Amino acid sequence: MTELLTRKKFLTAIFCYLVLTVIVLSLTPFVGSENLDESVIYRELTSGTSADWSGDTRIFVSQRIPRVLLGFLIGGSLALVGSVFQVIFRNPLASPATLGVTAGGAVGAVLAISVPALAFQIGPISTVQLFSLAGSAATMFFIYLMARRPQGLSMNTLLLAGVTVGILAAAVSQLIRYLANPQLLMAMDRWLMGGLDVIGYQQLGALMPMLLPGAGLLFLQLNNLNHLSLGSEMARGHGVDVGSVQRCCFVGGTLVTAAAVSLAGPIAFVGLVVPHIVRLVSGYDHRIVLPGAFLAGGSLLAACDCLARTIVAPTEMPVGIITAIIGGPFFILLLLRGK
Amino acid sequence: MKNRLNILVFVLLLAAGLLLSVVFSRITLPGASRPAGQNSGGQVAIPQRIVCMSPSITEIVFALGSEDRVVGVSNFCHYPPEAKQKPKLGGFLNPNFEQLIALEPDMVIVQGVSEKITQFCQQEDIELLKVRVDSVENICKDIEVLGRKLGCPERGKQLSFEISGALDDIKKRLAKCKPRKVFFSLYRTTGSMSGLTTIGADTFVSELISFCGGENIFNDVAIRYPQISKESLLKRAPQIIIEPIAPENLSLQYREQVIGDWRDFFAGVSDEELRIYLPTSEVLLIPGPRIVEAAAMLAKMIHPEVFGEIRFAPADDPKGQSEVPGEL
Repeated sequence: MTELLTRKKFLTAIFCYLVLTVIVLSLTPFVGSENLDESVIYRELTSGTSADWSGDTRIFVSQRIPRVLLGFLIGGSLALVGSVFQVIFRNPLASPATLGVTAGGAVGAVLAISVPALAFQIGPISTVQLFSLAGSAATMFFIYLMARRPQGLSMNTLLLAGVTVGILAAAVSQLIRYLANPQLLMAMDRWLMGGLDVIGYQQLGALMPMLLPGAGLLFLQLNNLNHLSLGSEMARGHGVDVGSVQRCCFVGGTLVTAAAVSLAGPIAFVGLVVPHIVRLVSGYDHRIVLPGAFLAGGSLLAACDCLARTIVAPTEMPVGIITAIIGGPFFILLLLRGK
Repeated sequence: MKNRLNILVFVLLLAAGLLLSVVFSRITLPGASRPAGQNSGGQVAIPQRIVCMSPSITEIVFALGSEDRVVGVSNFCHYPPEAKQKPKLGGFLNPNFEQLIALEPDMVIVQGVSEKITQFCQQEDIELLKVRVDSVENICKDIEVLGRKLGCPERGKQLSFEISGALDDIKKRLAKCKPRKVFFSLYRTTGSMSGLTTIGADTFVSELISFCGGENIFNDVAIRYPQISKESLLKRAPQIIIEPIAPENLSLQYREQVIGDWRDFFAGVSDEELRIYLPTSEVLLIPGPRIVEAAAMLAKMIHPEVFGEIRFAPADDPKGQSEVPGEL
């Protein structure tokens, strides 16, 4: 049974998550492979024109800030989708990757990388991103068609179809990798490990038209998810249009996942574990789980990326490795304490 | 009612997202501040701060005598030895953009296409030069292009002339020799023949092999680095197998195992009918000014009766048996 939070507890929890976010977002831009002089950056940002910026300020504005923002948005989105999927599928193992959208995106990306002649840029979107989005969209439509029923979506079919399509897509990726020029395999591997290197703000912009409406749809379901977590029969009894909620969650969740994957590749772990951490810390009321997961997931990924770009400087480590190495033991600790 | 609200919110946020997307794409960041005397707009008169993103580019730029202007190289640039002293910028796939900004280059030279580096150079207003260096002809062309761009056109022309001259010499000396069948083993799992990968026709090594009186037995394959079947390899019966191995893997034991794998695979073929070479030198794989050295090595392996057997360093060499390219 979901225990609803009192207004005071809700505000306290939200306040704590916001504080965490503000701390992470204000500290991480100052850490990276190069040592930047904060006083110079502050002086140049507050006075003078951008034409006179020194190298430090340019690194700060064109590299650090967009990268931290991207990390935050992607981490937040994945955790948000994970927390929604875990409710609608009634499965604690559900994550943004469960529905095969990630694997579908990977097929598109790997395909685009395997044909170097395809490398071009359309506005802010690169071909790899575009193909990744197309792969995700194809997967999404396919499993939607399979799971469609007169009274709504069959969650069971959706889950099974998603997992199967995911395995199928992984096989297609393998096939493309098998046939590809070995020189390109490394580029594919790097993409498949996930990463957040971003150049400037254009790519962030490319994320918005999918992320905002998708996340909006999910956040609209806050109360409905509380009812739905009791089971769909119970939710129907409470007057919830279960079919509509499930459809919104499916569309919103896949849109957000596709956007995140197209930019950062498959970053595992955040979407699976952050929702559980949030539930263990601040309870099961989805009015706090969803925003909490978004803020905590974003902070976690931004902080982990900060490590990823620092510990092996001047090179970088894929951020997915760090999230799993740090988040895994932390989650196990929480589980043990909960016991 | 509820559905309408969902759709309304979705559409509103979609519009907001598109708007934000436009706003973000309008953000232009100031480019690197250029010293006086250089024109803006991505064009630099003669670059003074050069970044080389691949070993062949570094070798060419150094051979052109412009090493003092190189401010950064990729992690894989080890030759000439002075290149190791330059700041390392990561690889072609994962360059460290922060360090790249900090070095304030006015020209970045890459081999092939990298979306990220292209975007970066556009945004930072840095001239990006792409070279192909994927065939002997293109290596010579690119050397001349780099010579012009770096302000030393004569040196570029001379170097390109020297390279094509040296290769023509080898070709002339082999005019009367019958081409020998060569298999170039690029990759396989040691101890087995799985994942056997070779070079196709469209590679500079395949071209060099034919300059040196050999015939790449897989030069009918259009893919550059095809994975090939063991049957085809047996059927095409090479006379010479060349399998480059990394110097750090070089031990007598490893060498014997690699040769043993091939002897087992071609059981019944005598040592005279099939010669096996395991060169450790990286020159065979770097399409730069040292292709002359690479050609010399290949020529000695393929036609030792004309050029003399390839010499190996003494066995007490701590690194084992490295070949000595030497003169022809």
